[in-house]
Amino acid sequence: LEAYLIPIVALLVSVCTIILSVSFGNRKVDINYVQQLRSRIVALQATLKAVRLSELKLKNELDELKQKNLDLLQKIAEHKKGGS
Amino acid sequence: MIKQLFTWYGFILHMVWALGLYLSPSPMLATPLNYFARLMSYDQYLTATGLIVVSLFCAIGVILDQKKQHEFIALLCVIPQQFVMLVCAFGSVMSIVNSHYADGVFRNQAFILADQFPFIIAAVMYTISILKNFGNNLFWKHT
Repeated sequence: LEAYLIPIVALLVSVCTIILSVSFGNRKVDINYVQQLRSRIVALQATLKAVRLSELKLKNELDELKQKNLDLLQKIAEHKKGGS
Repeated sequence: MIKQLFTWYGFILHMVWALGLYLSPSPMLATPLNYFARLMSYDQYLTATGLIVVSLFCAIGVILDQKKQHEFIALLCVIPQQFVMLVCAFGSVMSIVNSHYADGVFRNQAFILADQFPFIIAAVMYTISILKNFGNNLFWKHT
């Protein structure tokens, strides 16, 4: 009985290994998934860079406007002094 | 390479066994080899050739897998060696259960377990390495 049973059990284990490997071995999908993640990360990095650049631009504009505001206030003050 | 360590272990083991069988029929009485030899009708040269064939298939499978080509064919190539290793491992288990080696030498179970355990663990690790290599999502599945 052993002589027949052992090869049959070994064969069954081998068949199970093939089935499990085929069922769970979608390596290509994994590679695609990783590639998708990488491209997403690159896109997010680009967006972040753009956001930071626009933030800097807005800060500069705000600084300029503040300066202009100060200049205008100074001119108004000078005008008032001259008028009086 | 490290991933396929057990595959290469099996390849070298079977090649050495085949070499021994070409030199003499006595390795057929070695406990792990006995059941495989029985499958091959105790033919010395047929057993040796069978071992060489499964080893070569295994080497082809590993090479195909390393090149990331024909994955299913690579899987089918490594399976015959797994079958031989499992037959050897079950032979070792039976010798432990029956408390005697294939050549009829009686020893206690602990002695045979200590002696034959490398063949059992090799078959288990070989199966795990196949599953890890070809069925990788069984161990790690992304969400």
